[in-house]
Amino acid sequence: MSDFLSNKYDTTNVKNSVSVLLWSVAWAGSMLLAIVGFKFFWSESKWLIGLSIGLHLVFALFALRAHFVWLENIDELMRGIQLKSAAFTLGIVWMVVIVMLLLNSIGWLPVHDGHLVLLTLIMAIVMPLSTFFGMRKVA
Amino acid sequence: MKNRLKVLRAEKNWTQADLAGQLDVSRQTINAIEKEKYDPSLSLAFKVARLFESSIEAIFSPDN
Repeated sequence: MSDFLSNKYDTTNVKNSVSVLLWSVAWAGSMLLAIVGFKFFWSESKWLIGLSIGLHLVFALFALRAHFVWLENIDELMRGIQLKSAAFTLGIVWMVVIVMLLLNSIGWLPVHDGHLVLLTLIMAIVMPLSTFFGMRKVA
Repeated sequence: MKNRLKVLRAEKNWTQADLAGQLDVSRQTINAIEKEKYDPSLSLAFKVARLFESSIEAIFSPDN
């Protein structure tokens, strides 16, 4: 009985995590589809361009919803750690964005598309690191 | 905040995973509470008290 009960939280958590992963992959894939499709297949068709962007937005909303469901179902300690990590990551990204804009405005660093990738990379590094240290703090 | 969770769990011969399952939280949360590195919310404290058929004050006490 205790095995069943102890697995209930983990089962829900795993199920929701898989959902987050799948929707995130679908989201990223739809972005790739929209870019590659525009560059190589349907640059002339406004209808297909709109459809691919619309599809990307729909997947983005489902990915966001999956994240909310996951966050709502993890326990209070884990939720606290995740929310602190998200807040810290957002703060770091804001700091970088503002410094980049400042450097751009004084002409030291012309901001271009590549810098957006840098922001994504920063988020991808800071968020798990922050979560790791948050977990270690209470371990 | 100090607590007697580890003692109470041992009396029932439960593992951290067993207790986590009954409280619907992760094993890490039980570990953090037992090591007094995390203070549970009031609602979780009530669940703990109900599970051990005790009062919150009998399980949790302030540091001072």
